Amino acid sequence: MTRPLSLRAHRGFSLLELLVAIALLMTIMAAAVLISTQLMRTNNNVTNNVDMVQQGRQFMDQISSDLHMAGFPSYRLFNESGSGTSSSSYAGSATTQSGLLTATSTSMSFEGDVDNSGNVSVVYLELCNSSSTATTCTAPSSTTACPCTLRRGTVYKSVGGTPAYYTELSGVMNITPFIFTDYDGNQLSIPASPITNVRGVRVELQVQSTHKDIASGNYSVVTLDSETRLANY
Amino acid sequence: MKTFKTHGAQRGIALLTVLLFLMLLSALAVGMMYMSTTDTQINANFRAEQTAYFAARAGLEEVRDRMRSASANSLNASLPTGAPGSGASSVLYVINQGTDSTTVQPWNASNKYFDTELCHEGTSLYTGTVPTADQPCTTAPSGTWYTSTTTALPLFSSTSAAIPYKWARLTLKVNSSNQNHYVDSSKTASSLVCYTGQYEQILTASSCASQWTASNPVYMITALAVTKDGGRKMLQGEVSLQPGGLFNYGLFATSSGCSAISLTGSVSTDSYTTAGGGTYSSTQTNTGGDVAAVGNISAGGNAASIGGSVGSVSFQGAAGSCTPGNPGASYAYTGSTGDIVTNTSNVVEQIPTQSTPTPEIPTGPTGGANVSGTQTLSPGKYGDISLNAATLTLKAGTYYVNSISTGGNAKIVLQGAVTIYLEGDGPSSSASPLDIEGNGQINAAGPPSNLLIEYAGTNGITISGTPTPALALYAPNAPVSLKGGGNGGIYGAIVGQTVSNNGNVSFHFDRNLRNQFPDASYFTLLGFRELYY
Repeated sequence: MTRPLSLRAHRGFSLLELLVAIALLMTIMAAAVLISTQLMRTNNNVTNNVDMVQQGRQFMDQISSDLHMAGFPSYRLFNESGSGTSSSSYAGSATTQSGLLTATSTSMSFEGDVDNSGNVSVVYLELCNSSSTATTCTAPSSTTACPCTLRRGTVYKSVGGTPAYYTELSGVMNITPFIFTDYDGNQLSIPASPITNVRGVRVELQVQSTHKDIASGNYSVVTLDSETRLANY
Repeated sequence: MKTFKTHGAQRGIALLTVLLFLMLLSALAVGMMYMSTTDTQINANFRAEQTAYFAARAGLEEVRDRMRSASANSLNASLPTGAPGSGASSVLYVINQGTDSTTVQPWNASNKYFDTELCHEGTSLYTGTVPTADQPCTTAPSGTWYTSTTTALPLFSSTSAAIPYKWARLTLKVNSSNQNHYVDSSKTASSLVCYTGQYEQILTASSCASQWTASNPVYMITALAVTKDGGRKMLQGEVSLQPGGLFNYGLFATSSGCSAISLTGSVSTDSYTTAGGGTYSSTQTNTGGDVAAVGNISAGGNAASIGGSVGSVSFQGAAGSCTPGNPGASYAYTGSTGDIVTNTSNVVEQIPTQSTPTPEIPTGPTGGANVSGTQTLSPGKYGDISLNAATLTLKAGTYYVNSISTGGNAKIVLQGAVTIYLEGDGPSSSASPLDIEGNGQINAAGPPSNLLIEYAGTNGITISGTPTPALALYAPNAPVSLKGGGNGGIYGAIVGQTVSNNGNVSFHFDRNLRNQFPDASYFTLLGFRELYY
């Protein structure tokens, strides 16, 4: 009784059974491949976005701590008639304590001992359109001139002249990233005048990824936003 | 046996396949989660840094607020009076423990929240070589060098939701407190620093108030914040009181009407300065005896000579007669232009709007005893002080008095800086709160800054030049009448609702009063920085 049963079990698959099994396997495999491809694409996009956010955040951090140091040390921290009070040893002037020099919607510059080195630096930030080169920078007049790059340059106030610029962020899509606010937090018209009215700086960036989203075929865009109140004024 | 093996192998393939798929999917899922976590972490780091920044700022602001004498939980009485290293009271820590399991001890080099900045601040607490500004301090000073108190932040102060600032340190600023930016690199590194309202200077006199340009001490506040998720920020601010701006001009009237200031007799003004121990005879000049008003200034008559500038807030650009409702033609003179002493500073100009803070509002009689005979008083509350041929000696301090009247050969002698708040006899009384007449001497020896008199009421004040009083009178709501009649004159500065004269007044403005009497309502933040290392 046991032998026929055992033989029957050893008989193998019928063709139909095999076909059904293969078809099932194929379906499952296809689904798995589809899912994993999708996952890899998403992974790729997320990696790009993370890089983008990382770079953007780093820039925001940098500008935020730079602005906290803007205007330090101010004119009033020095003996008026003492030695070492040449204009390059303090940020700003006798009347402009904030250290902010220029303020437009695409560029700004300010002075301060931003690295606590004892030397007052002049910090320049500029938004350049897509046809700008390493040596030239033209502010974008419309969004079609972007993706734009944000570059930053510093030079010691005692040295002066044109700073060496470095690209901080590329793929910027909006053309008015810098917004200046007054004591009450109200937005000031550009150019901010008098510049002593500026008490806060808001930076709004729409940054576009350098790689296309494989799934949608579009470039993904993240929006970054930070607001810094000038500490010295 | 063979049968069973085959059977088992077939079932094993299914198990392996399932396991394989499960692993693949798990790996992908974990990968996805990891990516999104990285994304969150970027933002978390940013948030931790921001939280730490604002927490440290909160610590700094708490100390800045509590430095005021009028503040709740005021630290005003324990403000450092000497440079760090001059005793336990020279360094004050405000500790915010919260529910942190680590005890906050910035004075302990092995503590998690050790004060890694103090060694950079040029104090005598550290001798020998100290780490450069970009390197944290590693050792603590020895001996008794600090005191500590606790935070008074009302919200969550002893809960886990406490603002994560750990401590804030208060010291006086010395020349080299910021080793990269000396206040004056040609001066001694350990000198204390004062603030004039425009700039800092090295203390060379016995106190900031007696500097050549009167000024106030500069304090440093350093605060550390460490958040639970690792954000760490150390911030430093320099604070000082601002000059109160009570006496920017020799004579100032707050009235916006015609003849807010009326100088129509043999009036003269000039200036001198008591800065650096100057006297009238050594520093007198025919400039700087400035006269100003919100409204119209009427000068002229019998040879008014103003040795200084004439300014009005509402000056419209041309001198002329004042018409009702239009005090803008602010400088009307009835005599000829020759009545005005001509010098370069004697110009008619528009001045900016002046801030005239209201003095303490009288609440009625002080309830103190009346004073009339020769005696010495200590600070406190008194009724009516009327002197005639008596000498009153006042110890340094603050007095609340209903009224003061002098006549005959009365004298008031001061033993130091005295502030007198005139309370008046109550709002319903029309009695004059201050009437100085006769031939006596009122603070004849001392600088005008030693006698600050404030009055918020509206009753008239009379000051005669004969007893040559030296005083700083601040009565923005009261008409002030100046009387001449002899030699000498009035020294100091006067603010009244209106200022008029009865002739023959010579007024001598002490220019040093411009910087004296700080506005104690808040400490101004002079400089602010983040410390990185």
